[in-house]
Amino acid sequence: MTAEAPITQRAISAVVQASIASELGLPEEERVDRRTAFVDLGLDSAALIGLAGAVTEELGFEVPTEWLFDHPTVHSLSAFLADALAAPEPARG
Amino acid sequence: MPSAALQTPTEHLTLGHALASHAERLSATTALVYGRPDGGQDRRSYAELYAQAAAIGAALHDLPARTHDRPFVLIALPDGVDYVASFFGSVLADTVAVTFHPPLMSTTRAGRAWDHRLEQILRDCEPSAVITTPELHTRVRAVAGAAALAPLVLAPEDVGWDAGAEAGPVRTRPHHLALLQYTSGSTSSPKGAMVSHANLAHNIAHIRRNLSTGPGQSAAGWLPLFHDMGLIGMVCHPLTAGMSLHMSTPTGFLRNPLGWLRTLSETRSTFTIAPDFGYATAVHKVPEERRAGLDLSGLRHALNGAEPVRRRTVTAFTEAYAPHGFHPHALMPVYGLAEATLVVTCLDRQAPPALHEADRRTLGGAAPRSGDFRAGTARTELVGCGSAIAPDTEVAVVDPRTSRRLPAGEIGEIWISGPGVAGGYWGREQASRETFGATVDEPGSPARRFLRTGDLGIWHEGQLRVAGRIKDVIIHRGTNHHPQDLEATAEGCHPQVARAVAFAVRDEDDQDEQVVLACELHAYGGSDHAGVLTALRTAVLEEHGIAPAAVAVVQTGAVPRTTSGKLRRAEAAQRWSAGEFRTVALWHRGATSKGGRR
Repeated sequence: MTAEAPITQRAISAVVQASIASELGLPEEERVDRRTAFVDLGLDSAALIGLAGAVTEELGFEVPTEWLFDHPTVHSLSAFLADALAAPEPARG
Repeated sequence: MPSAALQTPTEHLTLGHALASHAERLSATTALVYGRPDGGQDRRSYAELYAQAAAIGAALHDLPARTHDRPFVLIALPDGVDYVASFFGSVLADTVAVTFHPPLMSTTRAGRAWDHRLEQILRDCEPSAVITTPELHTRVRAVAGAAALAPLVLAPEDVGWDAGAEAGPVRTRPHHLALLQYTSGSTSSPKGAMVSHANLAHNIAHIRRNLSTGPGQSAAGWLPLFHDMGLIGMVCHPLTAGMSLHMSTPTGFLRNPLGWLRTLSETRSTFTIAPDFGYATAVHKVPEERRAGLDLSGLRHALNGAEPVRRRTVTAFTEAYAPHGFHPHALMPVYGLAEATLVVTCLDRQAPPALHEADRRTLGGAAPRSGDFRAGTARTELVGCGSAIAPDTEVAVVDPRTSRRLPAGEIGEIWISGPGVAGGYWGREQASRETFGATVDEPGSPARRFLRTGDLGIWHEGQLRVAGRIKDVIIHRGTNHHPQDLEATAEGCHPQVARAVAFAVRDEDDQDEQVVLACELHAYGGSDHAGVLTALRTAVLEEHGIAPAAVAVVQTGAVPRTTSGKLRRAEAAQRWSAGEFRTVALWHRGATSKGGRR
């Protein structure tokens, strides 16, 4: 990452929620629950790959699909990504 | 149809002969470019692809055969140039390729499911060699050891090659087996369709003839190579035709759907294939502003197969990409299956989509007893998939109870006869006889053998329309899933689960299939129902990649069965749709995720 201000967990959470809404074809203003597991939201493995790709694109930061299995809610994934982005050498996988 | 005299492509005896010929005549032409996970690309010219394949072939051809007169070679590589070179290496060595893949996900449960599937295939055909990545060698040896087998395990990078080296002989023989294509099949009995070089050459020659593909053209796609549509339609066909092929992977496509369209545009590709969900993804996941600059005017044929073709997808894709040069008639529905090598019916020209609305119930009236039209709305739309791909291939619609041919307009089972039909299932005489040895009951008919597809179809206005399935197979994103597999996963995921049933129901607009799992428990008092429901969803996702629309705990005996205890899945689906399934505990995808599923 550059020396810009670190992106907050709240901002990441919004990105992830928007990407899920797009993945599920929900109206733009609709937000999924932050503590419901991805599988319970109806995301299958192909949708998770798509979600990882969309989040990568939005954050400009490589998000492997495996991370979504290790951190399977909006809340836990955003917290993990915020830590990873704040770290000087982002953990990769 | 183009003029046959001018357009008939050069016929090659086998894939091996085609590659050898292109290596000589198109030597420096790009054969294959493959996107890597790290964002880079691997590239092979025809001379290079041939050289690498020949080197791998040289490492294979002296292997001892075990269960067949020639050795089986299992390929468990990620999609990429090494996979293609290994497949062609097996072709040139006249060994038999068994196509497989690495674990699809890195979770423990997904890994166990992969080990199990690998072991079943190893036991079924006893390959003499396994080609896989170095990090999987120990694991493959352990799984093989559990099956009391010790195949040679090698990695593509162990085999050096030199594009300038003297080419070895092409050992490929037309009537030998080229490929065991394991159908994405049932846990209890993986069945390998035996595809010969003659099968492949016939199917590919007729795809080429129908689409007029040849040297100087490009193709682009992302289908997986362990699937027949990816390996044969998307890779072997363009490479036999001498085209330049630009590939990505399913993961690459899902992460960045725009990449597929960009490649089609930049390479002026004339040909691609995807299942319906691929085209839907290209509409919904690529916002309009990101489509700027795409030019799809070179795309003559965009085949749509492996799952039902949906009108809304055809319409949406055409509307989205016609402004970018996409010809509205280039989207071409096809019908096929691994047991018939690949393509059975398609159009021989660009044509508007042939949609035909039918009444599901009247269709069902002529269907066999177990004929399974998913419960739901009564009107259904049947999409024309063209006619038989070759003049020597017969596609009959037959009443499976009487084995009598049905006239156009009546629904029955699709039966196929012709040079594209595979030789049966490896090592399964009875299943092969039942599936590949049907005869039509008609006076004076020669003893022509037909493949029973298990699919229901109807001829209408000269085109075959696929109307459903006799078998309970669930199609999810272009992949067939046997409900038995999902049920086995469900029964193994939580100690409380006694028996499970899996079935598909259609959503309101009769489009998407939704997977439902219901299970009976060993005991109900004090059971952790929520825990069972969570375990079911997680297990089915990790082992099969499917997110069920609903999972339920039901009372013992609630799942409909025959008197001999066999599951009646079609009836279960009907009861579910009618709201007649009484549940003890239920989870279903909530209002938050309703609508817009692909």
